[in-house]
Amino acid sequence: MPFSEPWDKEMIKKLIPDADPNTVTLKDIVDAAKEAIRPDYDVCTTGGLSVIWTMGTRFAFEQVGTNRLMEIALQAIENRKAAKCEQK
Amino acid sequence: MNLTNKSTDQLTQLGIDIREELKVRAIAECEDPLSLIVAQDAAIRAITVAAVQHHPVLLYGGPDIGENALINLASRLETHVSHSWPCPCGQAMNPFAACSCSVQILRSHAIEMRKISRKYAIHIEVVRPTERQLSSFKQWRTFGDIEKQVQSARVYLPQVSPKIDSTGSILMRQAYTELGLGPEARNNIIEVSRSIAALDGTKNIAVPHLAEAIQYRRLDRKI
Repeated sequence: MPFSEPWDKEMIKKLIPDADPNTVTLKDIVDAAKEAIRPDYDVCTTGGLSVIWTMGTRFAFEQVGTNRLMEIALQAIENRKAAKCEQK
Repeated sequence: MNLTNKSTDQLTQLGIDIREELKVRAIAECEDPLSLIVAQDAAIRAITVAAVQHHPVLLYGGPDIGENALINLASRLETHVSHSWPCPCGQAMNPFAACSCSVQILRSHAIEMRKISRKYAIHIEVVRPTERQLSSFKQWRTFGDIEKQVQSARVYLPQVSPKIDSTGSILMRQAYTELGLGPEARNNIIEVSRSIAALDGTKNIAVPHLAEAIQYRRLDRKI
């Protein structure tokens, strides 16, 4: 039985605009988050919580809940947008 | 106990001790220990994982993190949990209060913590819940759910192989070097990975299981 906190529907809408927040699965959220934070980090999920990790010179592991994962993914998307604007 | 021969200071201290004892007893007598734990999902998960093979857990965090409730949850799942402060003043990880310890004290405390942490298979950093988390807290699972999950994992555990696949081996090799692990810590990671795989109901240790087990060795980081 996977355990997870109740998800923030507003953040789901922002992260996966096409998805229905009532029927979205944890896999959908993790896949979208993975896409957003690559190539800097990788994500894997067990027991409803996710581990965000990176190897190499910045070796780090951090376990987060689904809402925090979405928060980090949305922040990564924002950062990328800001970086693109600066380049222009 | 004769209270008449006690000084005012002694009576004040006695009052504080009694209040603390009553708080601990109220937590221990609570029917559902989970109802007293707010926004500590990572700690609950760590205790659930540890409970499968009765691994000892070290909670790492300052005061007022709800450690008594977490220790009570662990003892109901037959697991030992200890609580330790991140620095002598206890505020090193608190984003809302300043830590009064010097860099030298923090460093010697970190070295001491690293020695202590070797006895524990799982280390978990616990932070104080925010006011928003406290006010919007709704219990969405019961202790019975966790107990059932742990019991079925204990039954399934003998079927889980301790072998790691090639991708997992690369991850493990890097963790061993980067975190400066010893053979005992490596064995602990593999055993904790097995517990996680058993909770997942899979017979093999996959990369996500290993990654979760590695992140439970937070205090093994090089100082």
